Amino acid sequence: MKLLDPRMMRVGLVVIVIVGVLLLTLSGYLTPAFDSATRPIIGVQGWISTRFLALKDLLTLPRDVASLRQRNAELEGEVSRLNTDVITYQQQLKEAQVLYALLDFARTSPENQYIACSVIGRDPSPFLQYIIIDHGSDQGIKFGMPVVTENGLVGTVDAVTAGASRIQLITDPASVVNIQLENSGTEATITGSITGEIQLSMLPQDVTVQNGDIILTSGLGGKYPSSIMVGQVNSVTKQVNSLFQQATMQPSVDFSNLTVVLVITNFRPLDIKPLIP
Amino acid sequence: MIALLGIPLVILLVIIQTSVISRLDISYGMIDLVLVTLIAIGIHPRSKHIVYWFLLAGFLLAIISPVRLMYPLFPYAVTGILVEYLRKRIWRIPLLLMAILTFLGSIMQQLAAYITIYFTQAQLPFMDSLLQVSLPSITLNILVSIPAYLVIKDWGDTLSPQEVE
Repeated sequence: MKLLDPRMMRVGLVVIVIVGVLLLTLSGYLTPAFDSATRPIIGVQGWISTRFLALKDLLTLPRDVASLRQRNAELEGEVSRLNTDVITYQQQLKEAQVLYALLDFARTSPENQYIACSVIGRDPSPFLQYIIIDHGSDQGIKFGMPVVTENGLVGTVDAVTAGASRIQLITDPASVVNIQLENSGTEATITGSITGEIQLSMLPQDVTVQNGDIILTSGLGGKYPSSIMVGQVNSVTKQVNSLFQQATMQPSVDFSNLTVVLVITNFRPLDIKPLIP
Repeated sequence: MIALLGIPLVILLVIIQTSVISRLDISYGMIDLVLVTLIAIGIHPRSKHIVYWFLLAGFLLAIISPVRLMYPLFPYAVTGILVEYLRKRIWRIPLLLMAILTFLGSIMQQLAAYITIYFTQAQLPFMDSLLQVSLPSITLNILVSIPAYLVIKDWGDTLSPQEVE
């Protein structure tokens, strides 16, 4: 075998060129040349790749839209369900707040026993001020029991069925409650009206009554326990010729938003009608 | 049999009236949904035995009402008879008939309520009752009567379509 054989010389030359190119590449001398050479290739590759991806998207997009729509519908359903939950929880929170307030009130008067009842309706006649609650004789409600909220007096049980009761509000035109003014101790009566406004009557002329005076039940007549908050004096009308002063009061209970009430179950109302001559 | 079908509907109307409508006071007036709906059903050409529905509604409201003498029964019964009587005579203008019957029914009901409460429970001042309770209630009933008639007519036509000759 000859070293100067032309075939061997070509092989050797190729090897030397490859090794040389490798060494030049590794040493970084060929980088600019490679960059110049690969830039158009990369450009072409990028162009083809972009078009291919666009074509792929075009072919697969309908399936994705369908799945996205389905997912969107699922998420919308989830949002709707969560919104319903939020509303439910807000309602429960509201009820819990009312019940906590009633509980606080019940703790301030431990001598009384209470049953909490939900208001489920009102009397259909606009002339009358009655509400209907969801507890009746089966739960121990009896005729004449006083009804209160944490804010004060609501009324009295007027009729009872097994599962529901009707409450006459103190704003009813036929309702009369014996009260006393907290400051002076003066006793009087309050009467409801068709507009829900409450009038004070039987107020002696010599008594000084001012706006904002606190009104409590007096307990006279045996229909209500004493010292239950009723409201505050709103306005006073004093006429020289009349026997009594007239006044209106602002009830402490918001009768338009009654949702839960407490029935005092251990109070026995007295029927004094036979004693009235 | 058709009168029996009215029982659940009337009960539902009374429940809605006491639990929802009664809480919506507008100037102390109140819509009488039961009355308006029953009148709208009554003047539908294919309704039958509507007087029984009125009697049932009046009876149910009388049970709920604290006023003695069952005062809702009378105005409801008279309104039912009026509906039965007038719908065959003013059948060409049902909207007018609806308004007239609602007006008459509401007046009778307000009057009956006022008189009964006045003599049995509390002496209500007449002008206050008229201006603050009765007039707003009658006005509200008339305002509600037109959409109520349209809705009931639509339902009635859907549930019992007219036969094509």
